[in-house]
Amino acid sequence: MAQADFEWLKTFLSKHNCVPEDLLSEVEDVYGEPRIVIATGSILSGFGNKFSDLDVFVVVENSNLTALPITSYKGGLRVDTEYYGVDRVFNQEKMVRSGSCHRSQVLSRDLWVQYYRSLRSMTRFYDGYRLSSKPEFFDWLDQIKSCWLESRVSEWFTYESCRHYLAANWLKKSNMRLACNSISEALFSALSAKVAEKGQVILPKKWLGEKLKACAFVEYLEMFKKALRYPVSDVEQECYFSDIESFVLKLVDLDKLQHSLSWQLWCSPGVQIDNIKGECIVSRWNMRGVLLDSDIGLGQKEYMDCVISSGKFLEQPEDVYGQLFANDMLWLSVVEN
Amino acid sequence: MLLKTSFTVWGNFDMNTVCDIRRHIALRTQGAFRLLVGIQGFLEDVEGGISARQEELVLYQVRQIVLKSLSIHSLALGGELMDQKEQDQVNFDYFLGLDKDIVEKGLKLINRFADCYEPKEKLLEELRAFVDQAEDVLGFSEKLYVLRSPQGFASVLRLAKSWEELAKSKNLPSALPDEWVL
Repeated sequence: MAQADFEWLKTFLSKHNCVPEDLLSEVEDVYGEPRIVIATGSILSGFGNKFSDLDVFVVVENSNLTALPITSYKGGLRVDTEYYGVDRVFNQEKMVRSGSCHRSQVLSRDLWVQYYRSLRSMTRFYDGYRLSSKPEFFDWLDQIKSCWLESRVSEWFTYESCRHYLAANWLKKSNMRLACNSISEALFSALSAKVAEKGQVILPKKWLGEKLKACAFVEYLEMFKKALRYPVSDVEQECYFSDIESFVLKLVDLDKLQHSLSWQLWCSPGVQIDNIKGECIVSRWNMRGVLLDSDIGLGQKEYMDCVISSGKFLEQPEDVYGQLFANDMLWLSVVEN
Repeated sequence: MLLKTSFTVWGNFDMNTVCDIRRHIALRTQGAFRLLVGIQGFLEDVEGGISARQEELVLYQVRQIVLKSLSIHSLALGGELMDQKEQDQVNFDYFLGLDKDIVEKGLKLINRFADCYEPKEKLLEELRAFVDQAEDVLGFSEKLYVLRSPQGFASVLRLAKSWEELAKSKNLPSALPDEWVL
């Protein structure tokens, strides 16, 4: 596998009059001595095309870094070099190994984002090619590239499919056009879970078509292509929703999962709740807002960083929370009971 | 909703008034970054995918381009400031406040790519025009830099610094990708 990655990388770089050693020349030691340097990106995953760029991840001891990429151009090839502190990388690995964030009792947006970024980081290392490393990191990278990560990615996408599925069914009452997007995302996540089981772990869904082809999932590829269209008229939206939902239900065992999952609603970032003379104002960034007839019973500070409402997977939220969700005032998570 | 009036005062000096300054700033900062960090890269993917005959990559990214372009129009008309950066939101409404015509124009363009009856290169030009229409909504006098170009990244970083300070002064969310600051 390593040799195949190297040949692929060499071939791609040669089209830009570069060799792998040129990538190493972009690595600076101003952030600390590199512990491990990998080339990663869609090219290393086997999908990239001539317009693809290349990412170089550099792990250093320094923990005071941003992930702002340092961009350079070699023979027309864009190379983004990113630096990560070793502590951060090890913590990300630990987080992913400990199991999906959906297994937490409470899943806030902050935790979701933290886990997602950790998972994304690990999948980049999984698909990356080692350009150089200190001896103590040889084994570390090898043990990242194994099936434990594949099952974590598959698990992630399965839960996410459930989350989008739930959103789609809540939204269809008031916004069928948007619900169609949600149900398609539920399908894309479900398909991503399937290909992850076969080792296709990179997260971006734009490569889902290539991953499905690589896994020879002919039927699933057709589902994907059908879902990529967007229904325009009301009639088309109803048919689309029904068709795509049936695909999701074929892929995700919701009959089984529904008994172990619950949903939680949180205030979205920027939300504020104010009450004035019996009218409740739920606003976001002091710009968009929803006016409710009655006080929803939350004081100024009570709604911050806590679950506003929750229920078993197929339970509907109370109308007021459903409305707030449909107006993008509430953030949805799905957790295992 | 932005209300702009233009009239001549004090000789040749033109002035626009807006009734919602915070939304005006949010449109220009958030809207610009939806283009710079999202749409510009997606367009490159479409070009590369057409060249490499990666049909599903093309379709997926066309869909993302149209939805994000519509969200820029929506941002000018009362839509949500904070767009999906990492698919954490499952209820972000790309269409909020939009006329049926522009929505249908965008969605039909997605489907024309999927139908494969027309040459992709011709459709790509229409897609670019759709993106340009969204960029026009931002109201800048010049086209935005191309972020993913040798000069573009540095130029955008300089702009971003001043925009961030402005947005912060108005208690608006940051438009920058979190990775740029964390």
